[in-house]
Amino acid sequence: MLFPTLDFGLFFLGVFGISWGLSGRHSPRLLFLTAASYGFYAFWDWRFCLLLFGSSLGNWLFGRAIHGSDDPRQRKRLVGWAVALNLAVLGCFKYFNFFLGSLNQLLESLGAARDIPYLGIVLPVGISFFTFHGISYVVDLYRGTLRKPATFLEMLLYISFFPQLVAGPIVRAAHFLPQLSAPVDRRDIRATLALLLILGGLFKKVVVANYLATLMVDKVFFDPGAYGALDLLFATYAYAVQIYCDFSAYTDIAIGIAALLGYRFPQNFDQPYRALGFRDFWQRWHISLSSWLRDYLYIPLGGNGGGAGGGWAGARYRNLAVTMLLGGLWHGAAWTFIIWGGIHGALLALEHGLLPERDRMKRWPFWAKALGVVATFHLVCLAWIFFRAADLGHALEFLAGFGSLSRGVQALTPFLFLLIAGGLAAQFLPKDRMAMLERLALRLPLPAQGALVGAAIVAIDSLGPSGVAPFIYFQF
Amino acid sequence: MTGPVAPPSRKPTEVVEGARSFGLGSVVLALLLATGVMAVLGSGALLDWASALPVGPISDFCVDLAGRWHDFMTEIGVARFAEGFRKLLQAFQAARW
Repeated sequence: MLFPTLDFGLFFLGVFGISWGLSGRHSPRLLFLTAASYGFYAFWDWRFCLLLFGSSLGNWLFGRAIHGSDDPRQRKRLVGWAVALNLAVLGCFKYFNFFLGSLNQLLESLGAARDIPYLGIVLPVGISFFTFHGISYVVDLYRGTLRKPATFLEMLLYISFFPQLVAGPIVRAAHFLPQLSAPVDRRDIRATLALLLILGGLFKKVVVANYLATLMVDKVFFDPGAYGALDLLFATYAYAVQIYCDFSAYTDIAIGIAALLGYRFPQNFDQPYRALGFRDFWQRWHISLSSWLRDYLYIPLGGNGGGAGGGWAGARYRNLAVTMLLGGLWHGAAWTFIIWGGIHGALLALEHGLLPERDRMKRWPFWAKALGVVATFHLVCLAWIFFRAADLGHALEFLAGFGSLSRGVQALTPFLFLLIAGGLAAQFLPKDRMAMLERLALRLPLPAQGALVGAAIVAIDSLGPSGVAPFIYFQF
Repeated sequence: MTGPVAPPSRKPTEVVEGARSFGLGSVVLALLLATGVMAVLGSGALLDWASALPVGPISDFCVDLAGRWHDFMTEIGVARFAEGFRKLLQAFQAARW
């Protein structure tokens, strides 16, 4: 069940009505939202609801054991086991066939080919996201950032809550569980902003991302050898805009839906293509993942220092490289994702080495900052080529195509150019644009806003191509 | 109890922080109006959705109802809203350099 469909619209209206009808009764409301979330997940494959339940139960039991223990060594052991088990489940579903395939290739190249059979493992939708939520729960309890363990019902809902279940944003246990413990307030629904987020998300996904994908990106990345340099360049830009619009649309809609149900989600995107440097980029792109990786991986590895063990000068660069490589691998079991993570890790390390004082970049003259933004964007685009390509061969063919300057423009049309230019220009709108839009919308009473939202949704549906492709991040 | 590797506590930025709050009654009314407007202006999409339902007695009923609704909306001219948007975009899409 995809967000921009009538099925989801009807599902949401039902959930909204019943959950607010139960707002005076805390546990029944949580129970209903949990049941609705499992129903939402069952639309993809009901069998994976068992996995979702098992993940919730396992992490809840570990959480209780961690919280109940006063022995620091035992607590550490328990959290280690909990994280390892979460990662083992993720690894089993996500990476088993990849490592089997790589092992087959290695043995073949060594002349010791063995026919190791693939297992028909289907990747459960959203497994990375609910695994990260599980890890966040046990680690936050271990660290004390979450002061009391969740009840089992709260845990079930925290892991399965349908707006963020399949593609985030990654919501920290310490941030979300206190919201689940507290009663919702029927007088505190941030409706105007929520509706604006949902509308903006629908437009980005249904119109911008879908057209860019179907009219340009999919065609050019499928057969890059058939296109000239200019088409390849604009297909790269198109993909940069497409993936931003696709993913940020999902999280905007998720944030809006959660807000209408009385919950607050963290920001996940902040105009990433206006970033000056890679540290800046990762504070603007998929913020909930990058901050998760920072707090649950980079800092435990030692962070900017040499770690608990010492002060090796290269430790920061090693930690950055390891974090970004694992971040790349998290996206998928393919060398293209590892290279994507490697490029980001290397560029982050380079930036840390050459420009250790981040604030100094903000004091650069305008032209230097503009140049820095353009350079950052193009390096991000270079990494996107690996991220989007079907395999390494296609990525290299795509890059080689930049040498064929003689071919004219085949794929780029004025319509696509406008979508790309508009998508990039939107990155430079004022930071408080949503607050400005909200102020504008608030000139009308809320019911009139609702009527306009209905008309706008019909207009967006009419503008988009027929059918809705799944969100890109569902596969991760 | 704080573990040895706890990062500095950072409260995540919430998008809806500072946004205007409404009571449930106004929000319900707004959503009902949004749904109503969508049903009126998007009758074609409603018919497409009903036609794509798995075949069965309920879907037959839905298709029949959505079909009659769409015919009525076409008759009074409201269904042209969505069609107009689509045609406008198709004309622009067909443009070449």
